[in-house]
Amino acid sequence: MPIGSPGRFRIEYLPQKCNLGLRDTPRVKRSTKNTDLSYDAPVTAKDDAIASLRDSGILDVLTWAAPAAFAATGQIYDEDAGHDQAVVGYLNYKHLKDLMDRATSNGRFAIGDDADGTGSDVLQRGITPEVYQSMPSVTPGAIARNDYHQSPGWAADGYRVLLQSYKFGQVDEISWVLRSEAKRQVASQFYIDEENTLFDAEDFGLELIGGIPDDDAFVGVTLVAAHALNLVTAQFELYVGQSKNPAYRGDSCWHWSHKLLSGGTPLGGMKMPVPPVMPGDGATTDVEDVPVRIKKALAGEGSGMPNE
Amino acid sequence: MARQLAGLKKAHLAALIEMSPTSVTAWESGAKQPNRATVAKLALALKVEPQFFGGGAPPRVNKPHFRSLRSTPQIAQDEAEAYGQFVAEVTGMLENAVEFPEVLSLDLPVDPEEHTTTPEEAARQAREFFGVGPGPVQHVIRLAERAGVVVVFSEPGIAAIDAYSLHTATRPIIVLNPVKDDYYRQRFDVAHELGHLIMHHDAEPGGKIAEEQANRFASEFLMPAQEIAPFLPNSTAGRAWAHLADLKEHWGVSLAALLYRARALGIMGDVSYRNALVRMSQNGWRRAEPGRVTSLEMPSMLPRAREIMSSAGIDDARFLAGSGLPAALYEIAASRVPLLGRRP
Repeated sequence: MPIGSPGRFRIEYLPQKCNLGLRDTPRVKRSTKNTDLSYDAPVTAKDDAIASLRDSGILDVLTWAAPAAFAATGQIYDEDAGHDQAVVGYLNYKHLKDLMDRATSNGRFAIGDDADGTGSDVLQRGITPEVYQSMPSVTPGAIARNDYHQSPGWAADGYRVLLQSYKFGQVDEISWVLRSEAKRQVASQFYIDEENTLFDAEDFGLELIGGIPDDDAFVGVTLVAAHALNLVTAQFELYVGQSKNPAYRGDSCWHWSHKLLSGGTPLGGMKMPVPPVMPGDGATTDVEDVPVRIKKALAGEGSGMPNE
Repeated sequence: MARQLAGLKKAHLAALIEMSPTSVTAWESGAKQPNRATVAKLALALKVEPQFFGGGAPPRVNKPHFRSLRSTPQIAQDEAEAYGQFVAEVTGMLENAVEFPEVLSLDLPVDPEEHTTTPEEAARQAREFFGVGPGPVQHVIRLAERAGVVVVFSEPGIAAIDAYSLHTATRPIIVLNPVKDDYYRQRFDVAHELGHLIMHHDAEPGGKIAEEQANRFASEFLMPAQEIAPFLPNSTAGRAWAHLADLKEHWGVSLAALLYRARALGIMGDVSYRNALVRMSQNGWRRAEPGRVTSLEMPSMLPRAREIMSSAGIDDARFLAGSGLPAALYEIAASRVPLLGRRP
C-alpha cells in the first residue's frame, strides 16, 4: 500500500495497524516462561521435530542431498547460455527431489515387490562416485514419499518435509502465499507448541490436532526444507522449519526455523576503509628476459637431437 | 604428428600419397614403418623433412587443457596437441645446448568437488610460492617463465582455440592464441592456464568445472579478493568508470574481469552489473575495451635461446639439421610476438 493513498484504502489498512499493538504478546509470554530472554530459547515443537527428523534419517538425507544437488546444478548452469536464477531454482528442485528419492528408495528408485533391492548400478547413475559413496543408508520404507498437492514430500514418524527454494539471504522473507496454494496451506497449519498456547488443550477437553486443515492423507506436521543457492557468489543455505503466513506486516514467515547448512564466504557489503594508494607496483610490459645461458661444453658445437 | 600439424585427416593424407588410411594409422601408432619411397611422398605431402619420420617416439605429453572443448573440433584439438608436442621437442633440443630456468613445479590438485582445497586458496598459495608481493602480478608471462614454464604463441592455423596448456616430459607449456591481441585479456589467459598447470595436473581436461576453476584461480591470482575488494565500486554511477579504468591499468585486467569480480565478491549487485554490461555493449567495449597498453606481454625463454644460439654461430638451419622439424614452425615458437599470416 503506497503511502498517501486515498482515504478508502486507509480504512482497509486499519485492522492491520491495530494488530501491530498485539504482535509481541505471544513472545513476551514465552520469554517470561523460560526466564530466558533470548529468542533462541528451547522451543518444544522445534526440538521435538528436529529430534524426530534426526532419528528417522531425514536430516541426514537432506544435508547429503542439498550440497550434491547444488553441485549438480552448478555443473549445468551456464550464464552465457542465458541461464538465470529461475533455471537454478528449477534444477535444484529436480536434483534435490531425485536425490531424496534415491536415498530413501522412493519415486523411480522404489523397490519392486519382486526385487530385494534397487540395483546399485541404478543408484549410481547420474551422480558422481563421491556423492554415491557418501549417500546415507536408509532402510527402504523408513521414509515414505508423501506428496501434498503435487509438491513432493518425504515423511516419517509424523513429520513430513516439502521443498521450497528462495532467494539467497531472504529466508525470513518467503511469501508462502505467492509461492503456491499448497505452500499457503502448509503455512496455515495449526501450530502446536506448549510454550505458545494460552490454555492447555485439556482445559477444554479437546485434543489439538496439527497438520494441514484440508489434508486427510497425512497425519502429522508438515515442515518445509528451504534451500537457496547463488552461483555467482557460490553461497548456499539449507533450512528446515515450520512455515507460517505472517499475520501482520513485519511478522515472521516461520513458527521456527533451523539452519542445517550454509556455505560460501563472499566479501560482499564489507565496509573497509579505502586506502588512498593501490597496493604494489602496477602491471607492466617492461621486464627483463629470463636468464638463458649457453652450456660451455656445447658453445660453438653442433646441435641437440630430439629425445636423446 | 606432422599430419595433425598440417590439419589433415587420415583419409585426406592417404589420398594425397595414394595409400590406404589403414596404412597411415599403422605408421602413426608405430606398428609399421613406411618404406623409403613412401617417406618421400609423406615428406612432400606434409612439407617436412624426410628425417622427420625416422626420429623415434615423440616425447610424452599429457592431453592439453582446452577451453570450451565442446566447441573445439577434434581436428583442431589434434593440431594443437601436435604443436604442443613440437614445442616440447624443440625445447628438449634447445636444453641440450642452453640452460633454462629451473622448473619450479607447484602441484595443488583441486578436484571437481573441491574437497581438498579451492581454486582461490590454490591461487593464494601460488602467489606466495612465486614470491608475488601485495598488489598486481607485474608480468604474468615472465613469472611463469621464471618458474620454468615455456610460453609460446601458436601458429595462426589453430587460432580457433583459445590459449591452452600441457604438461610434457620436458617442461610445462602454455600456448597462446596469436590472434587475440588484448594485453589485459592475454594476462588473464596466461593466469588461467597457469591455474590448469597447478591444479589439474592429473585431471581430465576440458570439463566445464575445471575451466571455471581455472577462471576463479586467475581472478584470485591477478586480483586477490582481500586486496582489490576495497577498491571495487558497487555500481557504475558517478566517477566509477574512470575509477575502473584506473583499476584496469594498475592491476592489468580487463574492465569485464573487474566487473565480474565485483559481482562475484558480492560488492556489485545483479542489477548494477547488468547495467554495466549494457553500457559496455553500447560503447562497443565488449568487443574491444579501451586501454593504455597496446602491446602484449612477450615470451622470452625460447626467443632468448634462439638469439644466443645464433650469436654462437648456430643458425636455425644448423640447429634443426637432422631433426626433420620444420624451420617455419620453429620461428613461430621462438618468436617474441605472434607471427600472423604465415603457415609452414
